[in-house]
Formats: sequence, C-alpha cells, structure tokens
Amino acid sequence: MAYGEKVLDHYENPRNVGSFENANNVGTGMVGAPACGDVMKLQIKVNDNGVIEDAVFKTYGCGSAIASSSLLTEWVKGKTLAEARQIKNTQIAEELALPPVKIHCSVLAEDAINAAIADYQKKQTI
Amino acid sequence: MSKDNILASNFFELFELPVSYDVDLTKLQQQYMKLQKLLHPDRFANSSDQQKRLSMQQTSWVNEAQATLKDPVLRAVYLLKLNGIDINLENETTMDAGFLMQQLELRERLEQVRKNFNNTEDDPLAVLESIAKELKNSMNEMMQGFAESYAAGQFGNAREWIRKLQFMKKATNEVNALAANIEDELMN
Repeated sequence: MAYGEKVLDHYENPRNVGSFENANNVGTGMVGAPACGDVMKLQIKVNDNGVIEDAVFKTYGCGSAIASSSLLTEWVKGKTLAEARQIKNTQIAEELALPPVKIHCSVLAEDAINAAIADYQKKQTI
Repeated sequence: MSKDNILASNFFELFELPVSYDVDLTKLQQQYMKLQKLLHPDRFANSSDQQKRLSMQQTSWVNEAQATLKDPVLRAVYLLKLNGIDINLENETTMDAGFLMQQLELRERLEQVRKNFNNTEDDPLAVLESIAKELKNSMNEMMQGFAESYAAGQFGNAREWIRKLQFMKKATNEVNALAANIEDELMN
C-alpha cells in the first residue's frame, strides 16, 4: 500500500520516541490492537498547572500506527489535559491522510492518550 | 456430506465433525480431501456455467472451512461466532496492561536481536528459537484457557483468550520473519 507523505515522514523520523521513568507526574497509556497485533505505549509528563510538558511513545506496529502516535505526541505537548482529551482520531486520520483500512491506527492513538490521562489522574487521587 | 448441502452447512457439519474446540485433525484432512474430489473442476468440464459457478462457490467455502478449523485461533473465533458472539477486534484497544507490557517487552527483545545480530556472541537464531518456544508454550496455555472457558459457557472469558492469542500469533509471525531475514543475511 502506498503511504502518504506525512505518514512516511513520521514513520522515518518518528518524534518523541522513548520512555519516562515512572513518577507521580507521569501518566502511561498502554493499548493494543488485537486485529493486527500492534502495541502502543504513550506517556505524558504533566506539570503543576495540569499542562502536558512532554510526551513520548513506543509503538510496535505498522507505519500508520507509528505515525499516528508520533503525530499525537507532538500535538499534546503544551496542551492541558482537558484539551488533549479533545483530540479525536478523525483529526489524526485526516492530518495523515490515512486510508480507511488504517483508520484503526488513529483510534489506537486516541485511546492511548486517553489511557495515559486516566492513569495520571488516578495517580493524583491516591 | 452431499453436494447440495455444502453451502448450508457450518464448517463442522461440512467435515462431519462435532462442534467442539477439540478437532480431530486427521479426520478433518480426510473429509477435506473427500470434498475436494467431489468438487474437482474436472467433474464439471461438461456442466452448465451455472453448475460450474456453484461448484466454485462450494470449493471456496470448503477451503475457508478447512483453513478455519485447522488454525486453533481462527477455530476459536469461529466457535464463538456460531454462538452468536462476534469478535470485532478492530476498534477494541484496551486490555490487561500487564499483558500489553509483556508484548511490548517481547517486541523490544526482537528489536535487540535485529539490531545486534552481527556483533554479538549469542547465536541470533538460537535466541529466536527460544523465544519462539516461549511463545508456543504460552499460546498452548491460552488455548487451554479458551477451551476451558468455552466448555464452561463463559464466552466473555473465552473472548479475552482469543484477543490475547491474536497478539501471540502476530508475535510468532514476526519471530519467524525475523529468523528468515537473519538467515538470509548470514548466508550472504
């Protein structure tokens, strides 16, 4: 399948690949797509004002899944948690011009950020 | 199995097998050969176009049935489908975090093998073989888990086992592909 230019760019030069040490200000989202076996880990570092200072990811999967998570880490930096939660998979799919069969990769990314936010918030209530 | 009933039969009926996760693979193969003979294109050389079309449809149904029942994961999915449980795995992304973490670590190990196979003392193929063995063992456990849940009518649990098995299957394919790649490289 032919990948779009933006997908290729994020695939070949993925932004923000990595891991954070587990800490109270770090939220981790782990998601997977059983249909294709892709696994995605997305982490956010949140400051005292509830703003996402930094975000990293590790994705094992197809080019579209890697590009979706790479793009998403770029987008969420500097956003508040509430803003980050507003990001929809359709925006990712549109930005990357994902073909219909790859839409689920952008769903994976959306679920990953929501899982990371939920994980962070759970830590704050303990 | 008479030819007229083929398209109306489920995959188990087709091969005269009981509807169960436990499949007699020898019988499956025998019945499959029988049906293939029955549907062989040579037998329809002088038939009408309509009959030819029908026998082609039947052949593809029989092939799909055989491939499904032979594969333990596809068979599990099919069994749940017969029980009215559809596994739409496409947009279902959250599951047991511990399991996903293991999957991630496994992929990381594969990446290490891929990167370092030229400058390491370990035999990369031996490493991959032991990973493949681990995968096979845990897949067997998961299949066992599925079989028990299914037999007990706990379809929700059965479904969870299938979702995990899907990941394991993908991982196994990746291990095999990587082993083939490395073998190629080492030969050149």
